[in-house]
Amino acid sequence: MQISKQDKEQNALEKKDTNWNLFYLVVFLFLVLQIIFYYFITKHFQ
Amino acid sequence: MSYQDWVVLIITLTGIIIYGVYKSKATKNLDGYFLSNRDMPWYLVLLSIMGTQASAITFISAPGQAYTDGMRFVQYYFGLPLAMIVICIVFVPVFNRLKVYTAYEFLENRFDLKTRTLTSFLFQVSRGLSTGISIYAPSLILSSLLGWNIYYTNIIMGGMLIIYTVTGGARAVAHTQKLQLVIVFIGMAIAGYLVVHLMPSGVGFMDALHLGGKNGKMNIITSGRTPEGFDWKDKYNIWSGVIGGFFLALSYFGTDQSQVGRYLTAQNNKQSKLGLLMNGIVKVPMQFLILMLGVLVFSFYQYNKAPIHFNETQVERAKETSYKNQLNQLESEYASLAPGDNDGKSKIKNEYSGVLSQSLPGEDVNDTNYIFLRFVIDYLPKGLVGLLIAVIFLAAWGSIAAALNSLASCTVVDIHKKYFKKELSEKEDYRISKFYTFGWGIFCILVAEFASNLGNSLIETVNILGSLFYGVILGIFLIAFWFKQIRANALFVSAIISEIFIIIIYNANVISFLWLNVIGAILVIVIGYLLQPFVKTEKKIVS
Repeated sequence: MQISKQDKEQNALEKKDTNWNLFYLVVFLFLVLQIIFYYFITKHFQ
Repeated sequence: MSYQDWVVLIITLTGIIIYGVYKSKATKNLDGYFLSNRDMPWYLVLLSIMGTQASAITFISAPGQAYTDGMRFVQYYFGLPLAMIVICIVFVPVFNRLKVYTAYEFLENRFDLKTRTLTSFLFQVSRGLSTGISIYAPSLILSSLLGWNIYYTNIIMGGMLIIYTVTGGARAVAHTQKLQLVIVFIGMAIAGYLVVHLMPSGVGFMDALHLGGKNGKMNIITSGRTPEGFDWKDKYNIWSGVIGGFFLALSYFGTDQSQVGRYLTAQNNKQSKLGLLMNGIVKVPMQFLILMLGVLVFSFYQYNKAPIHFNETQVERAKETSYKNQLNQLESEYASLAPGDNDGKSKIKNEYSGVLSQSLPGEDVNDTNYIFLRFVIDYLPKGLVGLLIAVIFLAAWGSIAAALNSLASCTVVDIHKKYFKKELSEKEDYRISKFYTFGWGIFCILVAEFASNLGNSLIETVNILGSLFYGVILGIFLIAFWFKQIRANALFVSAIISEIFIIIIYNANVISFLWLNVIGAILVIVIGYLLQPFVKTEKKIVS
């Protein structure tokens, strides 16, 4: 993957004040939970 | 419209223009005009991203889509949060480190000038045309419902925002989008409350949803499977939504300057990422609620007489032809049906649409986009109708203003300063930036004025137009980030061949448009990979 050394350093610096991986996980899990929620709504209102 | 509605409409629209001009204190150079000196906090970036994506068509068409086809359209947005994550990891750090003005500037670093120019050109063509449609689509609906002149409506829809977009650049665009979104959400929330409030006594919110569900409108998750297997032509299902929607969102937010230009205005990487990730969190629920409004309107019409066709102006014109008696006959049959006889209604509505088609050859007789506003005009109290009409204008202005700003930035930075006059003073940069913003504004209005009949649902027309180019542009960026063995010349030829393929596949009508993004991106990569050994390489890779 062509992400430069500077980008990696920049990302590492930012990690100090924000845990981005955790944030990405939250966004992903929120999507999964929504899809599950919508699935049950679809079934419930059929 | 009553005079109260006119007062609310005029005050709201004038207020936004004055606010936009008030916020127009852009620094008079390229950084200030196109990137607001990169000083925006994340919440303004978020609102700007949302305001750019949510056009008038979003608010007009989505409830109508839920009314006719159910809520499954929400699946179209399922790939968006995933795309936000990838963009934060891959695209944002590179764009911010290189301090680019446009996404395509990065491609010159990685490949060469012709790749940058081709991609920027593709963006400008597709965005210029789709912005014209974004003006024309809501104008057509409003002019038809309210009896306004379409040409003047186009000018107000696409022209008034030019005032603050030209004077204030990205800064005015972001600040007006903030205010516009607040008004849009208030308007839609009031409409949602009133639909439930206007139901017969004893019928509540949950009852309305149950009624919608019984009639297949709560089909939020669909698999796209039929007894014959997976239906590739099915537009919205969980697979096309997650996979196709992911590629579409990756392309739109990662390579479309109208969005890239929004998060480049952020103070730093962190603010850009926060804005994008928060968009990944709020976008799907927002779209869910807008669609739910359509289901509530559907349930409302189970207790109240729904028009046989929501575009009354079209019906009036059809009745001026020899088909008048046939239409009247079908209307009588429709009126005699019991309120809950949805199968009977649907059958007669289809017949009615068929007769309308025959009476008005070449015209689009789909009334999906008229449903929500017809309800607003017929049932909401005075004043609120004006507010909801203002909501449509403001939603349009938010996305059009961002489009004009981004189109101008590409023309100035990718074309004018590369091919015509490379060395310009800050003052000259500022002057030509304003000139091109104004020029694109006029171009888009002209597209709107000349736009003829656009086919089915308008929201799809805009998306389809984007999908023809988006996949290929995304493929170019993916090669730039991940496939360093593919160089400029192979990529250039591959992009042109892939675009031709995509147009052929689209014309063959064998697959739903959302998949074109996936196919376009993969084609560019595969063809580029195959071509590379046979093409002369001349450019080093800049990482």
